[in-house]
Amino acid sequence: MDDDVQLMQAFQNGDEQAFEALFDRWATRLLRFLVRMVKDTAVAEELVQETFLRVHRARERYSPEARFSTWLFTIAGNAARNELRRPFRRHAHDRPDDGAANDEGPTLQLVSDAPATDDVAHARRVGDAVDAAFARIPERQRAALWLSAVEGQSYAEIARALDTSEKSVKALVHRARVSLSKFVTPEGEPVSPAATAERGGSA
Amino acid sequence: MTSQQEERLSAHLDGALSLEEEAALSAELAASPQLRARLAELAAVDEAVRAMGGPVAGEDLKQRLRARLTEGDGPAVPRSPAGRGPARRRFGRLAASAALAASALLVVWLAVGPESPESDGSELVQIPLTETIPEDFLVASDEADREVIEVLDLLAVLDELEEGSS
Repeated sequence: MDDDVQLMQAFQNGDEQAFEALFDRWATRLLRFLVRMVKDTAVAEELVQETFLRVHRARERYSPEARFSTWLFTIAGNAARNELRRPFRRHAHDRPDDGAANDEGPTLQLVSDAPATDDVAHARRVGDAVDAAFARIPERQRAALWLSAVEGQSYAEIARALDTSEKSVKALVHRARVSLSKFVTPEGEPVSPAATAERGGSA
Repeated sequence: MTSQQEERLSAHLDGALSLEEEAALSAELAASPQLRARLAELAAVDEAVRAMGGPVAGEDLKQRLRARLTEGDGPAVPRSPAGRGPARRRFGRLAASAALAASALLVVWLAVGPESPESDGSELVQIPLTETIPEDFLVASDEADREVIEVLDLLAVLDELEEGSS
């Protein structure tokens, strides 16, 4: 039995510290997923809280047959979809200081306190290019590729989180990869605007 | 390269191929430098996405969650760090827009006159509404319907919250 399932079962038996341990293990990963979905860190933080509140309320409904992360990302996926469906949700372009983010996607920093060496600068340059391209692909493609490439979820798990079929997930992940491949070389370099245009992308 | 071949490369990266399909793809990869190059391109995308990073959930986020749990599982409306969640922000924006619209209507009413006998209504079209009402308030009717529903939903939530706290 994996650690998450043990923690969840302990929480079901009244151990609040097990709930906090689950938060510690998953909050950052969940936050990064949600930031990619709603493109707003403050809203994503609220959705992380909302997701864990729902976990807290619905603890009795958790069944150890499913991985805890599948359940968690399903709840988070629903929360993100609800947020994105709201007619008056705040978009990046609602805020005057977000003009750059609107043009180039979310401006997130790589998590590193190390000095800005050439490697770090290079990583930031590549990261910015991928950030910008990733922000431009459709929401469901972003979610599917993130859950596959970053979270290592199976098509079945992603299908559950996105409330769709495995066949759709396969297509979503593939389309996202093909779109992004126009912006990244196999060496991890961002593709130049000219080369991107040649590959059929719009940088 | 066919689109089916490309889709198989994606499925391979996702670990979604059967053993037989993996064996067939290996043979195709061995015979095709073009296919190998495409696989490298698609794999580079995954690497780049994994390297994107993002924010870290700090202790403050945990404290806020803890506070909401202590409040009794917290309200259904999420709150921002400043205590104003998206729903309340939206409600505030709607209320501001509604107040502005009401002011504009009052100006129109005063300009036309409450019961002006000379008025045939044509004055209304000469009032420069777009100068007094924010552009995003002038919405299509279906969106306006959604706004009304949203306001009613939010009022119901706020009523529930107030009832719960009293």
